[in-house]
Amino acid sequence: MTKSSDYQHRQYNKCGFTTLLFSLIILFAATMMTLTIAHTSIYEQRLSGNNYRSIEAFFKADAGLEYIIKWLSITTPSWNTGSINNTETLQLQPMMPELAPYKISIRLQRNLKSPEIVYIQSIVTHDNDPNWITQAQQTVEIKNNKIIKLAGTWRDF
Amino acid sequence: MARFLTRDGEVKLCRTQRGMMLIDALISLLIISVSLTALLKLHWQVTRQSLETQMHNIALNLAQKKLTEIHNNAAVNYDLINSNNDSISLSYAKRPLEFKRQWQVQNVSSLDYKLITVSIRWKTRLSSRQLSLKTIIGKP
Repeated sequence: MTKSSDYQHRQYNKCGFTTLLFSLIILFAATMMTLTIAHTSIYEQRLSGNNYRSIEAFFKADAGLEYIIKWLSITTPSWNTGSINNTETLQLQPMMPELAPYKISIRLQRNLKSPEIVYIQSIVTHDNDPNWITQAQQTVEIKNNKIIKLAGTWRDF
Repeated sequence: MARFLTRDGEVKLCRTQRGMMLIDALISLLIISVSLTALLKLHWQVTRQSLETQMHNIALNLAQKKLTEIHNNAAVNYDLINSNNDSISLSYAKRPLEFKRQWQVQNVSSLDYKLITVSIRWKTRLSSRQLSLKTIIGKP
């Protein structure tokens, strides 16, 4: 059998295979395209969910700051004197059921050199995901039970 | 009538292979049609889901904008912050979107602060969705 007849022999027997192969290539391309779009969509959803949670948590942390600033205006806190850098700290966990399912933890810190300047840190964690942490910070000056919000941190003073 | 070459190089006619190409093509067409229908359905669902995600993002931005606006107004007119609502019409990807925004203000007298809740509702093709943001604003 010559080479040309062998070629023709293969051609005649494989006519249907080309159509099948072509169909499979089209199907594969369409599947890959759809899967890529689906993957992008899932990624977008995850991103959007994370964005929502972070904004929601930030406003809760901000609420914690506002709450503690009000609390400071009517309460004289009992500070825990530390040995590092002449600082005093106070850890609080205000009960704020209206901000569920988030838990707020407040940390107050002041330098004994300027005790009227207080640095407040509001840390928010989610009940279902303790690794999810968001925080907001504010420096205030306490003068005669009046609170003045300041820019920057207590270390600036 | 289909022709094929034997190993000896002779051309033979085969009656049993008559119309075989047509059947092959039809079967391929059937397989492609069924598979593409499923893929298109999945594609449609993904596109719809993507649009809903975008709508969620827009709603979140609107809620955040309102809450920040209330926060800024509180520094000037704390006592004038009250519950209210509005409606926002937008167009996204040539589709009209409508969001109903509502903000509720609750006075908490014990520490003299206000609990603000901004809720946004919008309708998708299949359901109605809602999100809300909460915060506290103290009297300056």
